[in-house]
Amino acid sequence: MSIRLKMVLSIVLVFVLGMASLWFFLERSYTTRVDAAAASAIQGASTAFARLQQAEADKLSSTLIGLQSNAAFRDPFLAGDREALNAAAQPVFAGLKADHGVTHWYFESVPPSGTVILRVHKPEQFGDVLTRKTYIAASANETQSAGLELGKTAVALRVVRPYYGADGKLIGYMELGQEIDSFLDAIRQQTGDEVGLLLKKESMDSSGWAAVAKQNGRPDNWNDQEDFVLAGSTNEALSADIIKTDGLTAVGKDGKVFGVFEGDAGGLETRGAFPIMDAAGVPIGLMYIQHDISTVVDEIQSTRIRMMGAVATMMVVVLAVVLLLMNGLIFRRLNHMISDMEGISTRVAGGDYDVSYTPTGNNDEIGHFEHFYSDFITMVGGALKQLSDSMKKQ
Amino acid sequence: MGRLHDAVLEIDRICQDRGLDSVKAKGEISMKSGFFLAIIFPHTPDDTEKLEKLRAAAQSVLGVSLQT
Repeated sequence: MSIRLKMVLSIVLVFVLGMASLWFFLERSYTTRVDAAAASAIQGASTAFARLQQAEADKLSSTLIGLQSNAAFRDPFLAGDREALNAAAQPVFAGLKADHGVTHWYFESVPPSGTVILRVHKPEQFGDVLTRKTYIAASANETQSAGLELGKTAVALRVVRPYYGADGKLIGYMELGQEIDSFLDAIRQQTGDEVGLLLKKESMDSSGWAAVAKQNGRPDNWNDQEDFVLAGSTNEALSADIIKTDGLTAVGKDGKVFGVFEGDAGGLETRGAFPIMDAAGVPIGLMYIQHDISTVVDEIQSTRIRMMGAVATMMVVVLAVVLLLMNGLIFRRLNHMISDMEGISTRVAGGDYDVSYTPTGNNDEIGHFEHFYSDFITMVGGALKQLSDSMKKQ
Repeated sequence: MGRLHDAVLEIDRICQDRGLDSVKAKGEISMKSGFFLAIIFPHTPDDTEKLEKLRAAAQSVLGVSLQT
């Protein structure tokens, strides 16, 4: 095997190893970037949910301020006239429910009794002692408290605000709430993700859940999951996927990515979940996210192909330049030198002792050897000439 | 004595007949046979082994069988 072929094979081997290393590196980079995109999607949905919750709480708080300034409610509340209070509140509640999604409105007494004076959304129930965390936090500090509260059959965002009389003295508390089902569509509109809401079953009531399901004309899904119950989702197919998901209990405070899956439309999507907390920071359920990462994956794949193409082109160019340089600087000179030296040596062997080799003059490794050969062949020619002459005379 | 030299003379004649460069041809034959044809003289002693090598080299380079 010629030196030229050996060198070409070595360079090709380096080329192949280089491309394989690059492919391995890009494959690892691909996995890392897909994981990052999945985690980012979960983080984005979590942020959207937190902002939405804050915006809705601010809206309820502003509404409470307006309601508390209305003497039409304050006077019957102070007088303890529940019927008059209810009569004044019902038309307003109908408007709040229709226009702003408010589902709960309470008039509450101050501690130590801490009871419901009037449930505008369910006026026939009253007098029960308040134990919800938002009320306890608000009444403990005489300040506004807001947060999610998981009930027996649903989760709602509640805002409890101290209620002051015209003289500035605390007369009770007023509370507004809204169920967060509407949050799902809002998050989908903001993020483009399909979302589902799972609630922790441990503090919920299965019979109450079944009754609400029947009332709303939907099947009782209480037993679909062991620890959670699906309260709603933006997509029927997602509901089916959520039911089949393992590891829901392993979702930590920063959320969890369940993996990357092939979507129904052929694209790639990532699924994960993040916990939702109540007013006291206790996990009460999960927000399940399905995020389309096809665009990200296509972009990564495109970048990978472009990078491989660019590096391959560069390596081919480098290979070609190296071969051209090797050919010009080494092999062409070597071939020329070999041809000359063989011819001169043959002539010396044939009796032409005056022949000589003229070096090219290059001061490199080949030039060094040419000088050596030139001196050597001159010396051998001279010696042979002397020997020949001396033998001729014998 | 003289057979090796006769063989060299025969090679010279063949080169001359064919118009070949005799120095080059004898150099190639020398390289193949392993000894210098240029230092073969009439008084060079016969050497059967060298003669056989010379014939084989001439056959290879010139394509002829030497008569010597």
